[in-house]
Amino acid sequence: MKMNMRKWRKVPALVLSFYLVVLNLAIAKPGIAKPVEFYRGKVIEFTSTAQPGGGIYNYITTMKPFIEKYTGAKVIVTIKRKGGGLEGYSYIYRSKPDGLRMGAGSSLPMLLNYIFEAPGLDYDGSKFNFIGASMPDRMVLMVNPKGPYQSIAALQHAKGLKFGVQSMMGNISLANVSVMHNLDLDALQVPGYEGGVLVRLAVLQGEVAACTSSMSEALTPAIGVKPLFVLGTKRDPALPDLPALGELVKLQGEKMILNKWHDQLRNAKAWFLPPGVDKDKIDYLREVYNKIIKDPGFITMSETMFGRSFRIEGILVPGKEFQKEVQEIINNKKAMRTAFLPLFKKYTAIR
Amino acid sequence: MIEAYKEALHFLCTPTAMGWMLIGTVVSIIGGIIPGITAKITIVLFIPFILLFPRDIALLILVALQSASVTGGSITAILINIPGTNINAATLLDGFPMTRKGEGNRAIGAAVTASMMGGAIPVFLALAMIPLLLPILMAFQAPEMAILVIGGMTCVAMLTPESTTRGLASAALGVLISLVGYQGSTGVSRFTFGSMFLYDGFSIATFALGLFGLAEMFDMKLKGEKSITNITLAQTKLTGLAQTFQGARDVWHHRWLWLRSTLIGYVVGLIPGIGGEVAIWVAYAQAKYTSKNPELFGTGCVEGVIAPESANNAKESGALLTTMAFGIPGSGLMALFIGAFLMVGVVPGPKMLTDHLPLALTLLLGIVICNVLGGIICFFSAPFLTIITRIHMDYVFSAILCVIFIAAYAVEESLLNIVVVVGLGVFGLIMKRFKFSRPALLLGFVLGGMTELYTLRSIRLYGTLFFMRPICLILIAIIIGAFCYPYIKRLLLLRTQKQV
Repeated sequence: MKMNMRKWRKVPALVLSFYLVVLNLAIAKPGIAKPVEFYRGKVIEFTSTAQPGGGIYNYITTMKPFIEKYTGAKVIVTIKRKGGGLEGYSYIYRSKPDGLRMGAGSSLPMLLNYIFEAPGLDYDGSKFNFIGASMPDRMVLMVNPKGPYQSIAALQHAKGLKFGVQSMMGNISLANVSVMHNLDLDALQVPGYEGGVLVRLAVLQGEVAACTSSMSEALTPAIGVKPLFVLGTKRDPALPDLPALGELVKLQGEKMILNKWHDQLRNAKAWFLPPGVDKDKIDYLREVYNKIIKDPGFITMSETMFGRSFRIEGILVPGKEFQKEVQEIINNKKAMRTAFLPLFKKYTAIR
Repeated sequence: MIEAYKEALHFLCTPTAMGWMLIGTVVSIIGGIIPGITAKITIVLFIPFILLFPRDIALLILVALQSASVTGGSITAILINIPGTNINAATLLDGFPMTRKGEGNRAIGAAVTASMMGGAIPVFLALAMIPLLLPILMAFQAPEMAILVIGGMTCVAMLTPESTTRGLASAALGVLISLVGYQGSTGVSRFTFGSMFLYDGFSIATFALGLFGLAEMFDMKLKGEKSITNITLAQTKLTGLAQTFQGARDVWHHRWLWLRSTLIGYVVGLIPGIGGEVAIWVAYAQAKYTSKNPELFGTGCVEGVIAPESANNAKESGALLTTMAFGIPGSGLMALFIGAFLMVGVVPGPKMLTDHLPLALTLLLGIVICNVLGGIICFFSAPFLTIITRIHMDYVFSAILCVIFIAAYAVEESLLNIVVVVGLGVFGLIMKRFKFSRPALLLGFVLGGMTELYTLRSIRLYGTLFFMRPICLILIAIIIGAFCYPYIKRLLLLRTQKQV
């Protein structure tokens, strides 16, 4: 009996088809829209961690029209500002990671709250996804231009110096205690001032000898205090004539390390997403950010809004680069706690 | 200088400038009337559009948005016992009782006239004050601020002469509530129970909405009152605009009170960090102290409206001068002004008065014009606005409840704040029924936190004898003198009567 070979030739084809179908069913996912299509027509909730009228809010106001332009989405701004922004960071951290919920805040306070475990902390600062950052400011020591402390030597010779600060463990406090420790000053910081402007007024009044401020404030001529040096080992492109502490004083050992950290401890206005967002959305938004920072309209608007040049190198930091920078700071968490917590206790007037 | 004045006046008289000032003033009044929407919010909303206007017009609009907001806020305080802005809180004490007596128009007339003149006339002092301003700013450091605020606390005694114990108890409770929140000076969270909502403590606006606004509404509803005003039109001597003009005449009649209150507000406004809340209560207390009929305060006395309303507008003028002349913002609102100045390429500070003198004068004279415009608008709107006080309580109650709840949400951007306001409303009702002083509680709340802040800072900077500074000693002498004054006056009166 002759076998029907045609019938049998069909078997491998059938088996192969069967396996291909099974394989496709196993690996196929429901159709995922590409990010560019995903964002078109959607509503983005952009949370500000600061009050209306402040720097962060102005940052979001500047970014908003350009985010809408490049993504086709509509941006709604919400405000969660309690606890100096803690509420906002926590809100964004716990948001649904669908890529439509994001926020902006000051990166350094956010990280320091996490590193020093501030009261009310409810997020893990190492898990945010950064899309980009603007105006990464280093800290500057400010003195009264008509006061007795016009040099480091004058500060070192003085007794019973007082520095002003808002709260005990923020970025200003960190900078204050670093200066006091690195220069071996006989000084204490007095917390409780209601804002940076009032601290600088206290410097002008002679109530306190000095204070530290961010570079943005050093660039604002309105208040009348004088920057003496920038913390860290190298100068800042925003104020290239201002010497760095590392140039003026030869530091060694742990003081050198403390000072070197200040090259990285920059306070930027950062745009970030909660943990768990798909990588392709993060990458897409980073591309959007890179387009925004090259947009001449954005540059002009930012320069007007913030009163400083946005054409200098490093003032707009792409997301990937900023994420690395943040990760380096987080990697130093234990070392920073070991170094700074005793300094806060030693150099803060609590009585 | 004369040329700069001419240039400023010439610019202000153009139809464009006048038109924008009018629009800004109207928006400011509306913002002030609606509780929860303050001048700060209207300015924040305007700032993104600032670059669409020429520089001078943009800054003039900013000034207009700020100028009449407190005047508008006084209307809400007088008619429905809810302060439109924080610094209208003292106006409630006598403004609302006047409305209840059918004198709402008179109260508005007095408030608006006092505000208008209190905001406008000090501007002319401004240029004369500038050489004195810097020494005042440099002299008022933490110890002086501590004594000033403690002086404000002594006003508690003046608010509750009928029962000092209850007044002190209320104030102490207010101080206790002010301790809630994260304390930056010590790094300690107090009474927050781990809640982010309580991290920043409570706000003054929340207190005013609940303790006064809602409590009063509850009280009227429970008593079955038919309308806010419990006197018919037939029973009032004057109505409408005639009554409003009577209020304006009251300001002229009490012109020395107006002058003292304006000076208090202006000086407090010049000093950054003090806040308008101190100015209005100190002004109210000195009005009561110096009045021939202090027992009438709190029952609907027009002096109790004139004093705080003069002070609160004068305070805003003072704060703007410090901001422009020295680049030092006295409040969050003024910090926005600085931001706006920088955006349009003007650096506030001493150079503004030399390099941009015509602009500085334009803005200062703009304040005068906007205050006058705001005053006129509110003045002639008063008869229409007071109609609300005659509408049946059933309609008014639900409408005001909505306004209160929306304002409560707007203040803290949290639904939980509505719960807090309702709780405070019930508490305020209980206080009212048992004759505990709500103003004393509010004053304790406002000044308690500031007292702690400045006292702690003073001790850390200067030691426990921080008050042994010349200005502190002068302020202490003034406070003791003010405290003893009624007793000395009574003693002298008794002596004179005996001699007779």
